[in-house]
Amino acid sequence: MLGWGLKLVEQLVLSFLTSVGFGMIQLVPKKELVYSGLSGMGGWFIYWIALECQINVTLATFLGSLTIAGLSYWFAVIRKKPSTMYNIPGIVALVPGAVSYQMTYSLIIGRYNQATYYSIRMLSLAGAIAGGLIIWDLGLRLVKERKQK
Amino acid sequence: MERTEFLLETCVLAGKIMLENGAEMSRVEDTMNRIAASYGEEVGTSFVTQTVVLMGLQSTKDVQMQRIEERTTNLGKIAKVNTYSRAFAENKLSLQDLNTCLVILDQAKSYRSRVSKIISAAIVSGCLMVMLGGTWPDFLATCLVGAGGYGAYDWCEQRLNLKFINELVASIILGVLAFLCVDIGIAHSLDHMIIGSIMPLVPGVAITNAVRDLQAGHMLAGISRAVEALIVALMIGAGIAIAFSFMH
Repeated sequence: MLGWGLKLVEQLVLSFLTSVGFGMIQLVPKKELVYSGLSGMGGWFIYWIALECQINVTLATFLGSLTIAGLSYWFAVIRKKPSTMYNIPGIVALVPGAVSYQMTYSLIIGRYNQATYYSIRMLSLAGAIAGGLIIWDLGLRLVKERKQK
Repeated sequence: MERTEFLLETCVLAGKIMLENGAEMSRVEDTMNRIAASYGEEVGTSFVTQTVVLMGLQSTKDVQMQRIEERTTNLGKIAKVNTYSRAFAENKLSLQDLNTCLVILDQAKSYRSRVSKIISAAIVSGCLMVMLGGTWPDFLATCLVGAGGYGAYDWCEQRLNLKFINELVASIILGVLAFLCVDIGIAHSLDHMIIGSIMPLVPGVAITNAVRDLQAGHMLAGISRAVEALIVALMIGAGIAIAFSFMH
């Protein structure tokens, strides 16, 4: 149990640092970096817990991105900044970047079966992340329209 | 007549800044239409893709166009445009002031130094390597390789500035560095190191944004973004493959 707790802390710290670092590369203003880090950490936390509970990768990614989208809209409201500043650095750990490299690498060295596997995996992960973000977009739009009536 | 022309110019400038710095299409169109709407209830019609901004007003026959030549990511500038357009909608800025602010913002250079970007790339590489299944002993070596790869990419972007070739050169250098690290014996798992250290270069966010654009009905933008991301991924894969065949 202690080992598990340590592992959790390790994952949380690392995911926070990753999102802050990616935010630095993407030139997020300094004051907002902490919030980018927090949204990345929240998303990775849910993703990691879901994987530990034996949920499959695509669904876990979807849950993670749902969390990130929720957090980033919340931060966007309280900080009065566009939500992009929190969700782009947030999703970087979930995003199928490594998978896209593995796909093209397998293609180039001629392992076509593996390339097919990775390309399908890449599409499903990208779809899952985009789905998580879009659900929030749609939900918020519905709420706004209802308020205007 | 004069006034609507100036309004169009300002809207298109705002759209151009947002696109050049990597905003999503729906956000760009929304901002442009909102600026038009808060200026005397004009109804704007806009069309944006990765490479062009078009905007017209329903009350006149004018259409303005801007070509987008270079695209980078600078979320700070997007946030600034957002702040200005909000202030304009709340009547805190006049149209003239908005235009001046945008022109200044358009010409501003990015305010973070190259060194801080490279250090962040190092941190991102190391952390992601451990998160994606690597081990702690490889941490420092991955940071080094990630910094080297990103440094090479940054240098290429400044000097060569050839799209796609930048990524190819950077990933060749990155592959060679990673191989050397394993050869000297300061790292163990080549696969995990490579996966961690290419993360700052790889177009994961671009692929996700492509799916989002497609869903929002921006077909042209979504497809062009997806193709761009795929070519970048192909270049990185090719670079690593070339580096491996050198070193073996």
